[in-house]
Amino acid sequence: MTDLRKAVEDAVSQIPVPDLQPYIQRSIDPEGSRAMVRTRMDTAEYRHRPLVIGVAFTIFAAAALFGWSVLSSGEQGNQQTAPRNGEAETPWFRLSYPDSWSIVTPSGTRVGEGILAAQVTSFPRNSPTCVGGEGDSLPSDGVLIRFTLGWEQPAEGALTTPAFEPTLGPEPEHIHPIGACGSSERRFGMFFGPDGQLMTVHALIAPDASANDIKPLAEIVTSLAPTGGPTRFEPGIETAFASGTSPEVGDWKMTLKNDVAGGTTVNFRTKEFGWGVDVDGSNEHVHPLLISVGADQVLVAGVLPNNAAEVTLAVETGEQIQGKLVSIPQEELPGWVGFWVPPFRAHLGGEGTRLTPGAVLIVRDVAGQEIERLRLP
Amino acid sequence: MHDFAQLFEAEGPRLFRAIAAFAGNDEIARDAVAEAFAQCIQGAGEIRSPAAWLWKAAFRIASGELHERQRSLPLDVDTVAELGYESPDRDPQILELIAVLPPKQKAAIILRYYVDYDMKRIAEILGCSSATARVHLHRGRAKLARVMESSDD
Repeated sequence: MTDLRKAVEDAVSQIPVPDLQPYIQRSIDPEGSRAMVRTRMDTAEYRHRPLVIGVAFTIFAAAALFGWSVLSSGEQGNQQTAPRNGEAETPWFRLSYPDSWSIVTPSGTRVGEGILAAQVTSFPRNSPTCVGGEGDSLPSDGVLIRFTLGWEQPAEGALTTPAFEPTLGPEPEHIHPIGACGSSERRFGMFFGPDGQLMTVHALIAPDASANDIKPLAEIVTSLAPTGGPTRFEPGIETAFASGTSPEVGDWKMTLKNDVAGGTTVNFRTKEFGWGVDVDGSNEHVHPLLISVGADQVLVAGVLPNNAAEVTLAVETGEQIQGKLVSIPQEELPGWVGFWVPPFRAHLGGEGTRLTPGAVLIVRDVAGQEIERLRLP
Repeated sequence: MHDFAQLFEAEGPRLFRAIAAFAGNDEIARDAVAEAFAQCIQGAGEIRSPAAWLWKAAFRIASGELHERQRSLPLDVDTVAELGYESPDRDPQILELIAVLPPKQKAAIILRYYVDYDMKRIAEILGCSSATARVHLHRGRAKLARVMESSDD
């Protein structure tokens, strides 16, 4: 058999490289990036040209020509979208805002542990701002709202109960503000966005902002609609892959987070609680997670091998509880299926103590054959 | 300050080839690489690792374009000739085979065997865990090996 590595290396190495400079220059043009995507070679007779690299001055000249500083600081890699009737689209969602407001949609810049998605302001970008403070600055009557996939600060990540619907409330005191000017009011929301991605939303309201200035905030937050971009499961961003409502726990979601550094966590969340289990590369076939629900109940959730067709919890008391299987996108976590077992009466002690009463998780395949049996914890 | 000239020289050709093999289409590769470089320059102040960012961005842009087209354009022998691949000694079939793999499998194959990235780096570009990236590589490799074995017979 042909050596695969050598075959791939040889074949790909011999692909001729065209002169990319003109295309990079055109993409740097503020209209260029969209023009580039729309433009296609009209001719069917596309031929490669020999590689020409005259890089050093050309790229910098192009950047200077179009007013971009390669030493840029300040606003974070922002690129201005062209708002159409107060609507804008990011790779992850669409949103609407008043015509008099402005929007900046940064190109997916990482902010803390999250990804900055959009920033909407009641004032134009070049408005005079108040002096002092750090981070975002506002005119004295300005309002700003910032959408981030995931969370920006560890303190936000420690919040275990994100809302299932978009909402803003007072910013919790332990969360450091993104930046304030004078005594701006701060509002905060942590919720699952329209395409299942966990989002944090920060709003700043400057002291002289009127009720009319503030009114659009709620409308902007609830205007979010999914765009179904090519990648839902951004690294580091917890994303819901399944949801439902049950009489036992109410609204629930199962989510997945591909960690940037490697590894995947699958979480079970309700509006009251949420915890996750790491799915590692070990030989373990069942990764269960035990969650205390109230004072006297325990819920089991996690992942099973995807030939599982049935999961049952056999409690020492004799109770048998049927679990529920939840499909996981196989592109994200191949070979696994999610599961959860409704809460049962039990007590989960601290580390080193057993689940009381004890329980065994029994997994069967489609033929009814037992494929896993795991005593908990 | 990032030296974009050096970055282009170091990464540009290799990145183009990898994306061209991934997309099965030089036009998509050209647009994706150009757009990635342009965005990298524009976001210069906030990108800590431009080289890593470039690879991830270029693959994503190319994936997005392929997704929009809802197909990858397989390179058949005639298309390969038309695009001017002039080396008669090179086997174009491997590119055809790679091009029809599912996106993450072919990306894993190219990033591992052409770019020689480790699994952690591949996982970052693909946006998945290292374990998942290993699965993509294994499945892509198994598919290619099966086809190549049967063609050797």
